[in-house]
Amino acid sequence: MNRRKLATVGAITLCVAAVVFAWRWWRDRDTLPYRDSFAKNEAAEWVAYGGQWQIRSGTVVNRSNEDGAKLVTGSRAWRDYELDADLKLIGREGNVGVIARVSDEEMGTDSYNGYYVGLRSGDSAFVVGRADHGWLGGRPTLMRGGVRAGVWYRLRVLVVGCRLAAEATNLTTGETSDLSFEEQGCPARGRIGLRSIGVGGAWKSVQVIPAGEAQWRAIASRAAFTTHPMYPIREDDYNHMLEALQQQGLKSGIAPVPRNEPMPVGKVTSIASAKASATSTEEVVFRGVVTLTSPLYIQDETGGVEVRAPHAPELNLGDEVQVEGAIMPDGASAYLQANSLRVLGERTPVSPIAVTSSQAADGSFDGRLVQLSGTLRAKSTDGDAITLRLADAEETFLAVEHGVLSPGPVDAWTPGSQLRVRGICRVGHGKEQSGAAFTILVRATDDVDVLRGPPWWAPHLIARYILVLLGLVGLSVYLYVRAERDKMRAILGERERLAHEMHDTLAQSFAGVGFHLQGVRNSLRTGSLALPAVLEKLDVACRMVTRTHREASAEIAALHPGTSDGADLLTALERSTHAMVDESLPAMKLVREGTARGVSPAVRDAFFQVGRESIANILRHSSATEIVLRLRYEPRSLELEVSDNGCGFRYDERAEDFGIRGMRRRMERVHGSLRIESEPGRGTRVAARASYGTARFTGRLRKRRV
Amino acid sequence: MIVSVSRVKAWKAIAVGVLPALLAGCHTAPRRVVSAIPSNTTDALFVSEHAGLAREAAKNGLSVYWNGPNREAGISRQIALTERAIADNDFGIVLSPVAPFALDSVVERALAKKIPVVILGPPLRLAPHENLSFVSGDIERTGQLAAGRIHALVGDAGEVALVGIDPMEPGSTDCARAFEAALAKEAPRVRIVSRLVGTLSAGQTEMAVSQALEEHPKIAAIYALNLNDTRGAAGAIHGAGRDGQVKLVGNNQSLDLMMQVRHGTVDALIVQDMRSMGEQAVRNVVAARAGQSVAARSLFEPVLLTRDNIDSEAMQQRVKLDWRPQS
Repeated sequence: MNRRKLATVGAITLCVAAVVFAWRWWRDRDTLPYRDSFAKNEAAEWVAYGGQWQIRSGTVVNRSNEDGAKLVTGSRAWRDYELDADLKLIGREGNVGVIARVSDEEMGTDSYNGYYVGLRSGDSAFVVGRADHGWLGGRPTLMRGGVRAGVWYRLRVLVVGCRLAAEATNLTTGETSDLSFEEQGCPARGRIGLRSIGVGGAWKSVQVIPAGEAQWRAIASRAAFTTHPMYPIREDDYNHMLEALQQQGLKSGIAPVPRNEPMPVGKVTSIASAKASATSTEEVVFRGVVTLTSPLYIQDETGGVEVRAPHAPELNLGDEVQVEGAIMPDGASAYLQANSLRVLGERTPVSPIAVTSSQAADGSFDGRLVQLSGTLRAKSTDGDAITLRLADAEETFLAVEHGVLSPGPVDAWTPGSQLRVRGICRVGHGKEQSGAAFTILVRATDDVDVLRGPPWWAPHLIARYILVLLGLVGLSVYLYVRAERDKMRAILGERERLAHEMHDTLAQSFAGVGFHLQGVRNSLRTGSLALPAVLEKLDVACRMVTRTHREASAEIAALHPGTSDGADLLTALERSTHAMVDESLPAMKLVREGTARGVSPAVRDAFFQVGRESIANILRHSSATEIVLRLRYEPRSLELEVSDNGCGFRYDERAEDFGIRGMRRRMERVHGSLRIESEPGRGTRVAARASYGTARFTGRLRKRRV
Repeated sequence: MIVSVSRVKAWKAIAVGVLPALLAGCHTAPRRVVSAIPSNTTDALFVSEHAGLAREAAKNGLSVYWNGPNREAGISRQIALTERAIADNDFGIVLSPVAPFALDSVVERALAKKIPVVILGPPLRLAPHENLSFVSGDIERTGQLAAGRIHALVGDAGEVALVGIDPMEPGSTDCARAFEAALAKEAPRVRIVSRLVGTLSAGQTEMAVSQALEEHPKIAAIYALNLNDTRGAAGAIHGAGRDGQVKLVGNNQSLDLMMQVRHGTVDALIVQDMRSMGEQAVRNVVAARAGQSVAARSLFEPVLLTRDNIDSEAMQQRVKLDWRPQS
């Protein structure tokens, strides 16, 4: 590979590296300050890990009471900052908060690396700690006025170096609490997120701004103590600490979280039987688990039903409720118009039932949480709702999700894909779109899994293949043109070199012969020379022609030496020597040392020309009786040595003649070197050395040229 | 000729350099990570396991990836995490299945990839194998400890309830059977008057136990087979205003229930040695990877935790929760 190509490859590599670096920088750039767009019902930059997240009325809500549902955004490069968020707890007992300096996030309770700061309703604690696929908390602080469901709090969290300070403010009463946390060795930078544990939560007004020591100190100085990751390590320490916190809460007048109301034992109707007699005006009592919060659906062991309760409390999926009201017909289905709704318990998981589309369509699973698969035919968006039209061999049905948080996962649902959807089966309400047997009310984006992408013949994939093909064809054409241009450049370079060679050798010789003959002609015309002198001049001219012919033969021999290996280089030089003279030659000794290896044509030409010039000099000037040609194969380079036992000369590197300078230039062209040693009466030694060179490309060119 | 020589060299280069690299890529060494997939990552029971795993893994130059289900789709999450461990060619997998049968296939897939698997907790129905071993608490002994405590609390005659029998929960029925057998042997006049099946939540258990207490007002003690049922039963006893009158013994440990032991609302817990089980699981993985024989089943003896011994150093060490590798 020559320098030009090396430079090209290097430039391309540098460009690619620069683009990658620029892209990473852009992705991770310090984009602070950040402010959410929840007020515009937009949260496209947030990524959910678990939970049932939706955005409505300027608020992001998680209606799941699973442990550790997370919603994450921001840059991995964010370092020292203040994270502010307003939040409230939805549910009776649990923990809501924010996470900072987040990395390695994934689904799972403590499955991230970073800090959590939150409010826990069970003991009105303001908690802080460090997660790294495990949890170690600091000593919590009592939240003044307690932590209550449905109340908005503002959290200010500052992370500066390995220290954290946080302030929580009850936005109703204005009461605040502060905490301070430090650890040795910490995540130095990371994203932010929202997180709830065991309850649902709501968040709004999230912002991140750069922060420094002064801001951190302002909050940390108000904290009663600085804590470290220390709980839970020993049960006794942890439970004694909790007990002290509870005592502190009681002394401060914070009432414990009320227990769920004792459930009155009364007549409970099964949902399926009540729906079967939907025309009855009798009051019914259902006990069930919330399977969808908006619209509200509950499910018991027999079936599921929509509950319309104008004054229902905020509920989470998995809440156990008791509802009283009248069952009302709704098309072929029914709903419960509730008079009262009481929460009996939380965290009761309901698993979806796997059904076929025909089972779902016959109404047996109306109102129940089901799971089924189908091929996506089309998708449409209307505001914050997305509607998927799916089909299988038996039915066409719809899957509808409201309050879509981020379009990212939705974009991956391409028509033709095989999807599995989970949600509430709604059938017979008379509201289904034409051509759809039933509707699945999807709870969150997590409820849609892509089982298989679209088949290869899908139109958009075909279009993509064509684009890729066109790109490949374009690239091939570009590479072909580039290679042809390189080839032409090489050929032109070689022609130029040959022109120079012919000018320096043949043209000069022929010019000499011409001048000589011109002189003879002039002598004959003027009669200034006698016949013997004329004949002598003609003999000289004949000898000049003969020498020129030999030189031409030698040049031609140099142009097609036949092979590139070293043995033939020596043979070619010997043949060339014989072509130079008729009379008897000095004895020639050819020596090859080392294991023969391939040599690039350019290197071989340089060696041949240097060798030939050296031999010519020996024949002309040295009166040597022996010439030794030694070709030495070394691990990294090849050396050609031409030595004789002739008269030698006083070699002065500063006063090299034209021939030696030419030899040196030839070697420099192939990044080689030339060394000459000679003393009067002690012969001469010329050594040329160069690396083997790359045979492939130049070899191919030479082959074509030949 | 020049071209031919170059081609020969190119093929040689491929043969010598590229092909071994490709082959090496196909058979990469296992990632030095043990994937631990409990049925729950936050209860003290499993955090103790995490502590044991992390400690033993660090000794062997391994790290632990700790994650498990956190919502209702527990089985599918465990399957997904196990599949990921297989795809990553992890050093080993330590799995505590949430269901007795659903994980069989994915475990077999891991074994087919020659990844050592340790089932920590009640065993699956799969037979032990050179790469499959079982580490668990001694279920028979658990039942005996519970029966002994109930006998001590109730005396030679009385009524008790058994809560949380769930055929779909690994070990549940075995433990119930062991308890009943031990109780029948130790105190034949102590009658189990109510056997409540396992429910999905503490709230549902609370309702069921409340009804049982109304129906059988002479119930003097309750044995709950898992954490949620113990919590639910404690809530029901408290709700019925019978704290101290109805004694509650529960299986397994959690921080909130140990706090209730301190308060006296729970009389005793059968505490499993999860820390030692975690350590044994890593030892099994390492031995299996080294081609050494591994005990098919390792049983660890549980102990009874009461208000009298909860503060003893031995008990505190048994339930220690520090999962940091250097601990």
